[in-house]
Amino acid sequence: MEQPLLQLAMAMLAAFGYALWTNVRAGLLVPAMLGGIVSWVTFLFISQFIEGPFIPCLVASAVSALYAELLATRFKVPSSIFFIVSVIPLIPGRLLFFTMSSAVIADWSAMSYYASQTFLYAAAIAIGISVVWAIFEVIAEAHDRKFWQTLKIKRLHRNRAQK
Amino acid sequence: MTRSNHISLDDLTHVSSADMSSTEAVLKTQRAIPENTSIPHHQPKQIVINPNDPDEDALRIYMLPCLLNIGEAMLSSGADVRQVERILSRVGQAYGADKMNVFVITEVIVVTMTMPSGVEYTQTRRISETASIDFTKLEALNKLCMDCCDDPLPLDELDERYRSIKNKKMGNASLFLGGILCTGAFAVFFGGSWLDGVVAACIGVFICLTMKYWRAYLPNDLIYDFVVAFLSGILIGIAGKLLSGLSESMVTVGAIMILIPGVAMTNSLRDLIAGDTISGVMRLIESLLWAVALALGFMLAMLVLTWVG
Repeated sequence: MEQPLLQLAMAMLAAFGYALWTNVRAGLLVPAMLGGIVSWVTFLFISQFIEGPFIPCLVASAVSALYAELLATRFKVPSSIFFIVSVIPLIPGRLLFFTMSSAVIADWSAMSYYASQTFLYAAAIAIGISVVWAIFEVIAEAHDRKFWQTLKIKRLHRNRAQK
Repeated sequence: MTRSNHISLDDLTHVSSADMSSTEAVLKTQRAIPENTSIPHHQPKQIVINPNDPDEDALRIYMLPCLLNIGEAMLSSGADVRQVERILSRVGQAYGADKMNVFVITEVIVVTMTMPSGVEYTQTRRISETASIDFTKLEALNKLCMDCCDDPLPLDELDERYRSIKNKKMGNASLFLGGILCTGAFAVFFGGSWLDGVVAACIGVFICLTMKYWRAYLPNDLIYDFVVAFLSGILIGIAGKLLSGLSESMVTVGAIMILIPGVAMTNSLRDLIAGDTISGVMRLIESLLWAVALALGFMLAMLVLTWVG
């Protein structure tokens, strides 16, 4: 945590790498990578004001979900393409590793501490994205209904024209 | 397949197989056609469905299998269940179904089309293909479906376009570069030195190689994750013995980040929120098991290395 700039650069590179790994189309690589920066900057910014990882992680994941949904609407692609790349810097790989390594040396108190921290991160990410997705789910349902309505009208016109 | 061959052969000759001389005549006329004009039997047959009087064969042989194929390919390239259900319903409606019942869980797709005449057509598909996340493919399939919603393509053309998307393989450059960047950058991101980053990138190359060459030989993701985590753990341990000042933990974190089933986990959450409890829970437990397999693989490697010395 000493060098936020280096960390930010690495978050960017890692997000870019993950986007390549999941084979995001070349034209969408940069927007997807920017999602990684957005989520990590939000995380760093919020953690300036609030102690503990829970709230910053929650806000960062909500922001990256929002970013992914907006870009998905803009580019007309599934939002998971952007979302997964954006959220990847928030995933607590380090804590997961420490949980594991303390289990190997049978340090159970350290293990339970790290496990609870990992769970805290995971729960924060889950809650953050749930809020945004619930809203966008409503919008998607509305789109579905609209699609069906316009289709029905089109068919009616077609049938009349045939008669 | 046999069916479509049969149709195209009929169109080609329009004669019974016994009448050899006329067949030869047809073939000769075809040879005489210059190369740049398309040969008749290569042209799409333009199979379309009239919603008010649907051709049952076209529905059974082209429409439903094509929907199932698209759904299967979308699921295995990283779509969530809700998205597949939604898009297949729309495509079916665009092709003239009065009502679409699409039921997707991670292992199975059931599609029922109710035509305006009231007749229902159902087909199911068990999905056994292992998932390999490929967002270019997902995007192309999504685009194909959207195009069909706006203006339904002839079914054989839809099938052809689906096949061309399906057969497109992911490039090696993207896989390897992605693996190197992701593992290397994450090792430094979580507090490792530059040396850790470089070693992690080498492990990334190893993981990409296993992905490319071994994945097909291992029965499922659980075993794949365990084996790869164990071997990577051993390699990291050996690197730690050779290079002084290497932080093995940071290199391991880099390797974990790329192997972690992030896509499956986020998709499972999304399914749970969307109300698809069965597939959400299924996928969540599956991805947690993969994560546990990963952790066990690395733990076993650490234990083996401490025993050896």
